[in-house]
Amino acid sequence: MNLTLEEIRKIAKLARISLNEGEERKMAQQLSAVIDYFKKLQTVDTSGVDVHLSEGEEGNRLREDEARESGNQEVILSQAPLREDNFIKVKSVL
Amino acid sequence: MPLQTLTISSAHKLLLSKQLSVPELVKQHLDRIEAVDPKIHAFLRVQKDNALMRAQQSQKRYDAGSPRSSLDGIPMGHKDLFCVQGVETTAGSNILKGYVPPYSATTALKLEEAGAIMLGKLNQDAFGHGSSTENSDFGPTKNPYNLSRVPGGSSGGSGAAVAASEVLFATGTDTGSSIRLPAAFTNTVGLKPTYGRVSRYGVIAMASSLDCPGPITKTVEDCALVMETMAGHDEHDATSSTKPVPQYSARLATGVKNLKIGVLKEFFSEGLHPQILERTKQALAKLELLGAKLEEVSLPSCDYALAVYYILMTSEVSSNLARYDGIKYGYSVERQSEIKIPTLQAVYEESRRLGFGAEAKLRIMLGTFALSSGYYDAYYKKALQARELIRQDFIRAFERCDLIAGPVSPTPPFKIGEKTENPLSMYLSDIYMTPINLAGVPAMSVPCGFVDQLPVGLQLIAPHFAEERLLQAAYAYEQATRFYEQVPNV
Repeated sequence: MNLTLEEIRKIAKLARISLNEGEERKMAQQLSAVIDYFKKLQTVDTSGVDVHLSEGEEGNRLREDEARESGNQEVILSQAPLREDNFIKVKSVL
Repeated sequence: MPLQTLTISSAHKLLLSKQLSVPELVKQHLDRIEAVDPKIHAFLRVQKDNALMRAQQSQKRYDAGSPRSSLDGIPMGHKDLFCVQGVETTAGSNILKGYVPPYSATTALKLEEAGAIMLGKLNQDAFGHGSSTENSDFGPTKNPYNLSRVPGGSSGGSGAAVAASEVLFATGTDTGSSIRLPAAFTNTVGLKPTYGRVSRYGVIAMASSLDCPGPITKTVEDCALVMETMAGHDEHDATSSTKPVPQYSARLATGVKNLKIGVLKEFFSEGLHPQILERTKQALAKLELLGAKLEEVSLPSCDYALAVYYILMTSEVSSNLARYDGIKYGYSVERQSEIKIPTLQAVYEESRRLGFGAEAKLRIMLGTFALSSGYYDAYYKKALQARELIRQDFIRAFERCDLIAGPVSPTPPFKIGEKTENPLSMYLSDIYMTPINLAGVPAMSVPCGFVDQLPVGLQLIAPHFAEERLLQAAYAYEQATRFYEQVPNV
């Protein structure tokens, strides 16, 4: 599969990474080579195979959804580049 | 006793008999780091003052006759994926430069509570993406056995630090090879536990359905000691198992008599280096001599496991690395007053462009592709189904044998720079290891000799939660060969 620069830009947009043109070209080449390798899988017969979503042998474990004090609010907030009081500040969303 | 021949168990005995004090032990290792690490670059940062303070506290416990465990006072290093409260933790990536975790990984806490003393954080391929430690954003780690060669990855700093006697043991993580490959390349012992045997809480995520934290040590006995401390249920990791943890170190010397060892046909394929083949055959012959029964087994699904692994792993990577967005912590263009960023979207895109290295970007892009509309069924879903076939293949194989043996890596440690331009050639280093992560079973690398003075590892694989059997076989083989005694000349 040869991914076009157009397709690379679409994937980069979905991945929220901006790439310059040199990076786009290199990415197209490297991605195409790996995706070609993935083709190996297409010959495998997987008809009727149930997908095993939980690796745990013990099934899902649930707990009560209770609010608890973390006690480290300030440490966490202090890592953000922009904040206002007890909020992380971001550029306008809309 | 010279530092290079010390192990956890021998150091603990010397501490108990007062022939050595904890501050001496810690100081000797810190001096060793100062002397050799400029050549090796296993450490990203050293916590000298903190380690010396803890050494004094530990010595008080020995003086009072009540050390907390065999690990009390033992110098260790953590792969930089392990969060340690108050200590910068970067995962080897620029995007986390300056990040100071507000909490510690469960495993880091358990080791600390057992008395082990962290000397610092160890280098790795950024986020665990790599097989050579060359993908660290802070420069590669060198192999202590040959400074022009890679130490393997992604836990390359861990393997190199243990091999070079900078610490007595190190933590690592194994998503597709990352404990076993560096162990094989540095003549150390590495254990990738059963998925769910060791808590992932506080270990920065790469691919959550595959990630397994575990130890890298000098000997199998040391491996058992660290493993029994790291393993166990954790309420903070819903996938961690509630099965009781055996005291692995108490029953090591059982031998391998009548143990049925499956020799995996698919691991002796065309890409295998002839001298690695020879070393592996010698190791199998040794196990046979010790009383094990060898039997050929075939796992046809191994043929496509690497493709399955790279689809699932990159898909999970693309999701797990979405959190690095320049908003909450780590690198952000919002901190750079000289960069004018107009929109929220641009904050994400530019922070990720400047913060991530090339390999992280490639994997995020691959995973985003595999999960994107139009390709999801052909890649992600197909790979999930194929993974189930691999898992079933292993379970069936273990109905016929107790363990499976084979090589760890198809080649000896390669040259720095040899594979960096071609990601696929780097990915092929993992070909004998990724099936194990997909199946979720435990596996070890134990030293099995040298090719041109470069270390080679033997891989032993066990059924789910049979770590004890794995360690017993590795111990029997190690005691009969003692390759660990050949320390590097750094």
